[in-house]
Amino acid sequence: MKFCNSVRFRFTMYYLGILGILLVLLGFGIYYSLSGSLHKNLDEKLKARAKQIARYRDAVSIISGGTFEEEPGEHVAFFFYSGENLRFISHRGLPPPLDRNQVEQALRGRDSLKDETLRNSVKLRVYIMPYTPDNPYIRPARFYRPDPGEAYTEVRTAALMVARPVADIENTLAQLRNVLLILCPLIFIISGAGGLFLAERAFKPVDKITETTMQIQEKNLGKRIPVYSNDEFGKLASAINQMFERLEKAFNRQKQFTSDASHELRAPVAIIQAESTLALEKDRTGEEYRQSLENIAQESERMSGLLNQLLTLARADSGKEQIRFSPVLLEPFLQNLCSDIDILCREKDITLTTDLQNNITINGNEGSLRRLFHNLIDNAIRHTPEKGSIKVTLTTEGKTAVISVSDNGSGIPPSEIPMIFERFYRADKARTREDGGSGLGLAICKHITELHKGRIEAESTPGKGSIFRVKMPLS
Amino acid sequence: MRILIADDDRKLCEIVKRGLEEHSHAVDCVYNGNDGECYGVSSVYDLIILDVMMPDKDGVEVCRNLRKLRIKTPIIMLTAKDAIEDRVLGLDSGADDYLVKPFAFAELLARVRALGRREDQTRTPELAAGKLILNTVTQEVRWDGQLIDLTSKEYAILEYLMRHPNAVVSRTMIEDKVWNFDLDSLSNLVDVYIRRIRQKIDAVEGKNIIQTVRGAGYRLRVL
Repeated sequence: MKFCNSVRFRFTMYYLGILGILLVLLGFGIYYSLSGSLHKNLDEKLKARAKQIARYRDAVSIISGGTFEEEPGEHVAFFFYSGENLRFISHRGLPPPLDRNQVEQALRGRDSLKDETLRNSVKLRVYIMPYTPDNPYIRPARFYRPDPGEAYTEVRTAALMVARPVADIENTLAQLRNVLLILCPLIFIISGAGGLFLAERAFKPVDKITETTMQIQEKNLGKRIPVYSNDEFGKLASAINQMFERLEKAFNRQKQFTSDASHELRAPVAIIQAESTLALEKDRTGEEYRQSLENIAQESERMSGLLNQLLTLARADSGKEQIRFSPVLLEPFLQNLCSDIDILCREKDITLTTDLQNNITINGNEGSLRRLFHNLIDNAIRHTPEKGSIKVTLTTEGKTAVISVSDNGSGIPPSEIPMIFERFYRADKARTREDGGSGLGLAICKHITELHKGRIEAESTPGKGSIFRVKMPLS
Repeated sequence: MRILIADDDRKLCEIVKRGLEEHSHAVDCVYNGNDGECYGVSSVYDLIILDVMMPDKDGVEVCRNLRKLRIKTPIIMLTAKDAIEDRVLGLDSGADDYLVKPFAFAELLARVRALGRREDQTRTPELAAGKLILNTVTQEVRWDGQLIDLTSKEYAILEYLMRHPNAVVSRTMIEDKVWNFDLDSLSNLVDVYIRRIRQKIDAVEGKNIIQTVRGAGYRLRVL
C-alpha cells in the first residue's frame, strides 16, 4: 500500500489543513487586534496630549518661545492664516510634512487623524484639532517669519497639530510577527508529526485486521481476528469474524455436500465397474451376462436418478431456476397424485387414505408440487413397514393451505428432526442405501416449499410414525 | 483362501463374493462394522476386505481393534475416500493395502493374490511340489507338464495343501479355508474332493503325493 494512498495520510492531511487554517487565523487575529489596540492607544494619547497643550495658558508663545517640553520624537505645531498665507509655529522650527486638507479641515472646526511619512522615512501619526488662541495677537517669533512691516497678527482660529512616531508600535508588531512566523510553522510541524503518530496508532488495529484477513484462506477458515477492544475497530473485527463464521459454515456445508455427493455417486459406479470387469474376466453363459447387465442397468438407473436430484439442487443453488406459477386446485391434484402412487403402496401392502378439503387453490408450479408430494409420500412408504398405513390430508389454517402426510412407520428421533431436511442426511445410518433413498429427497422438498413461499415441518414419535406438514399461502 | 468382506453396500458385497468364489476363494459377507469385527476375530480368515464407511463402526476402527487383539490377518481397505490423508489413516490403522472404489475386479484379485503370497516363504505366484506345479495367477495346475483340469473347490484345496507342504492338515482346517460358513461341516465333503484330486493328478502317484494321515487328516509330501 502506497503511503500517500493510506487513510492515515489523508487523515493527517485533513487534520493539518484544518490546523493550518486555524493557525493562520489565530496569527492574523492576534497581529491585527494588537496592532489595532496599539494604534488606538496612540491615537488616544495624541488626543489627550493635544487637549493638554490646548489648555496651557498662552500655548502659542510656549511653543514659539522654545520653552516647550516635548515628548521624545514629538512634533507640535500651530497653523493659522495670516492674510492669505498659511503660517505655522513649531517648536522645532521645521514644517512637518502635512496634508494641507487636514489643516484646512481643522481650521474649519473638525479634528482628524492621519499617517504621514517624513522625508527620512520616519512614520508619524498626526492629530490636528481646531484651536482658539487665548491671546489672539501672535507675535512673530523665532521661527515665524512675518511679512515685512507686520508687527503681529491677530489670529482668531488656528489648528493645533500633535504628531508622534509610530516606530514603537511597528517594532512591537514586527517582534510579534517574527514570533508568530517561527511559532506557527513549528506548531504545524509538531502537530503533523503527532497527528501522524496518533493516526498510526489508531489505525494499527486496521493493519491487524487486514493482515489476519489476508491470511485466512479456505484451508484455515477457522482462524479469527483477535478482538481486544469494544470500540469501532473491535466491532469491525467482530463483524468480520461473524462473516467468517457464516462463510465457514457455508463452506463446510458445501464441502460436506460435495464429499457426500461424490460418495453417493461412487457407490453405483463401484458396482458397475466391479460387475462389468468381473463379467469380462472370462467367457460366460448368456444367463450370466443377462444377470450382470441387469445389475449394471439397475445401478445406472439409480445413478441417473441421483444425478437428476443433484442437478435440481444445483439449479436451486444457482438461483437461476425459472418456474411458472399458476393457480393449482389442490384437491383434484392430490387425489390424482395419490392414485398414481397407490401402486407403490400396494407393493408393500400399505393402505393410502386421503382426507382432502374442497376448493383450496394455491399459486404454484404443478410439476414442482408433484415432485414435492411424490417425494414426501415415497419417503413415507420407505419408512413404513408392510401392512402399514399412510394418510394424506388437506385443510386450511387462516390464509394457508396445510397438506400433511402421516405414516405409522419407524419414526424419527426428535434430536434428528432439525437435520432431516439437510442434504444427504439420513436419520437411520444403519439402513443407508438399502431402502433406495438418496438422502436428497427431503432437501428437495424443502427447496420446493420455499419456492412457493411456504414452510415444511416434521413431527415424529419414534416407533409410532411421522407427520410431515407443508404450509403454503392460499392464492 | 478364506476371505471376509465387510461392506454396507450389499450389492457390491454380492458381486465381489461372486467374483472371488469364481477364483476358488471362500467368502463370507457382513454388512456393518460390528459384525466385521466379530467375524474378523475368528482367525479362520486369510484375508479381510474392509469398507471404511460402515454403520456402527467404520473400517478404520474395526481394523485398529483387530490389530489391538493381535489378529494378524491381512486387511485390504476398500473405500470411496481417496484423499492421501485417508489412505495414510487407513494404512496406519493397520491395514496392509488400500483400494479405492470404484475398482476393476482384476485389480482386487491381484491384490488378494499379493497378500496371500506374503504369508508364503517363496513369494512367487507359482507353487511347486515335485512334479506338481500350481500357478496362482492363471489357476493352472500341471503334473509333469500335463495340464490338469480342476474345479474351483478342488483347486482351492490343492492350493491350501501346497501352501503347507509336509504339514499335517486336518479336515476342519481345509473346511475353514475352502468353504464359507454356509457349509454343513458334518458331511465328508473334504474326503470326496481329496479322492477326486488324487485321481486327476495320477491314479498311482496321487496317493503318494497327498497322503492320508490316519485320525489326523492329510499331508502333501514333498521330497
